[in-house]
Amino acid sequence: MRAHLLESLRGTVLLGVPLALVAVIGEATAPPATLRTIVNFLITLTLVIAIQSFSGNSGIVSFGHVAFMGIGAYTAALVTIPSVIKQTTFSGLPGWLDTLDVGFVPAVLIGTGASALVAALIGVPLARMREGAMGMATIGVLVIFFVIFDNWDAVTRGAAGVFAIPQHTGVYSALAFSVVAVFVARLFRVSNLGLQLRASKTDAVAAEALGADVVRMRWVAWTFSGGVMGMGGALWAEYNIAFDPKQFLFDQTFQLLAMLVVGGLASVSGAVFGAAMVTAALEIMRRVEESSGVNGLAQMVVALLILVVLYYRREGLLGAEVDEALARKLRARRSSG
Amino acid sequence: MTLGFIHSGQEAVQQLINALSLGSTYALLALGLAMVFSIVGLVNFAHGELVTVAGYTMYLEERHGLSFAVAVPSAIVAAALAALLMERLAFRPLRGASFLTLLFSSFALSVIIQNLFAATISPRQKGVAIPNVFGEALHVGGYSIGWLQVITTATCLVALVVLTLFLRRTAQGLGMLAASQDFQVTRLMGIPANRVIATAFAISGALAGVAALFVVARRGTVDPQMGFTPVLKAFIATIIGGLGSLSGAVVGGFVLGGIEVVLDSTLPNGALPFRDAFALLLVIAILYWRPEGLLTRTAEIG
Repeated sequence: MRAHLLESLRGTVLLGVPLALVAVIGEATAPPATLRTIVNFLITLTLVIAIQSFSGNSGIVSFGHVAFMGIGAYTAALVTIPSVIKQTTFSGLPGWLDTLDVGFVPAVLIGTGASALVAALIGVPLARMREGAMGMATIGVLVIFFVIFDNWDAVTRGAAGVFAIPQHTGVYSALAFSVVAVFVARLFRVSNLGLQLRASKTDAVAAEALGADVVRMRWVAWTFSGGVMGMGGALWAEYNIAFDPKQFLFDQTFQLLAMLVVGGLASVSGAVFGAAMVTAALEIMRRVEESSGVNGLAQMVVALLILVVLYYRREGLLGAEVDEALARKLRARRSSG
Repeated sequence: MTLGFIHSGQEAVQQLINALSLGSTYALLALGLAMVFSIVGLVNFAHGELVTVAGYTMYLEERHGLSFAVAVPSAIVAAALAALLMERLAFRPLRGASFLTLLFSSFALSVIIQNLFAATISPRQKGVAIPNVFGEALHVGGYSIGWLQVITTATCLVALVVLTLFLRRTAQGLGMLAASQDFQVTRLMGIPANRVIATAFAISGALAGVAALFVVARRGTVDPQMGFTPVLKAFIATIIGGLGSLSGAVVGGFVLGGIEVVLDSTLPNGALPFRDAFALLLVIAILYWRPEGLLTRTAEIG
């Protein structure tokens, strides 16, 4: 247990230091537009790490996680939009919610809890399915929640979306939460359950034969990562102050999965690295798109990036944790020297 | 009929034919997906783009003055060729890769093709003129049924029968059927892998082309994302039926079509916008009861 904690801490520090540098330098020197990109990058990091903690450990793809981002975002919005505005813009909120007005950290925690709860419920039937079928069924999860966000006018304001969310998230809080996400994801990865789950990825039948309860482990990982995803969604809502249901659909899913595939699904370091790569590529291409007038260029380049990575490095750019790879190299040098 | 939600014979016939026509479109798409999945282990996200290719072929030919009777078969051929091209360029280099690698590459391919259509033709919807008969109703003994539904159901059933005959009565088809059960062993029996895989893609493309005709006839327009929603439904159909089972895919398509039509006629007006959510929840309930789908590969009929 102590070893797990130390290892996770070591990994978190190694990834956290460069992130903190980006945040500090960005805060001090970057123009507002660039700072915005940095904050959004840090929030995205939490989202990508959330998906990684399920897909990376279980080997099962999820197209449904953006639904949990949405649940976190809507929940946080509903508990932080000033009650005066809520009473005039929402038609059917229950009275207690109409007057509820909580601070930043409670809002993020409520968002995390709400999406973990929903993930736990929907995970019960999903976790019983085979790998491939579960992955495909997660598309259903995405669509179910999109339909709810888009049509439950009384609570979500439907297609119009919500606005007037106070901007609580800043560069340092985004940094703090992304470091927390890295830490819990690392801890989950090396926990007994995470280790057994990763073993089941290679051979689920063998893992079952050795006594691992694969269905339960997948359910736990699904619920855990659904919670982290809700946390990211809440942070995202508290930064972007207004959103609509379309933001929790396939474009968002594609972008997050692209980061994961490019960086490497199997490790938290890969998720961080991929998020940085794809964010940079998107920023550059959006500028090219604006000046050339060709729509969809950014998406196409990201898609090509995925294909190139899959052709030449199927496991992504970072297949293992940076610190694990470094430690292995040091050990090899010591034993040979 | 003892079902409470159906009030008259007329309505019952109408709903039945609606369910059949919707279900048969899903079944064609799901069958194409299942055929490729069972042989190469790829869940092809870019299957929807085959529908789009067929749709735009119809659109472009019509704009150049070609008749509907020419546009339809050439759209089907175009979709089959596009599927062969996809296999050759994108998936052959990845043969033998893991489920996730294949899935992600088809996901990326789908995004690229969608954006290519948007960049080269238009990101907006374009109208396609459909022969009037698709909008008319057929009157049989006091019942009136939409021609669109009748043609859809009949064509899909013919396509399914032709495919079944091919799979069961020809050497090539039996080789494909065997490969869908166990690709490795089939290869050891001397069935050439490249040919089986290329045939599977060509068939899946042709089926998508046939389905595209009805997708276009129903909407009257084409756009770069047009293939996405129907194929999403087909994904769901394949898991209802049991991922990798050919007959399961067809059954799943009809089950999903049936669920949607029943929900359409039973949900109160206020709940109608939530139809897809209810349908998917029902599907998840079915999968809770049968996590492997209705027909698994091992328990397949026939």
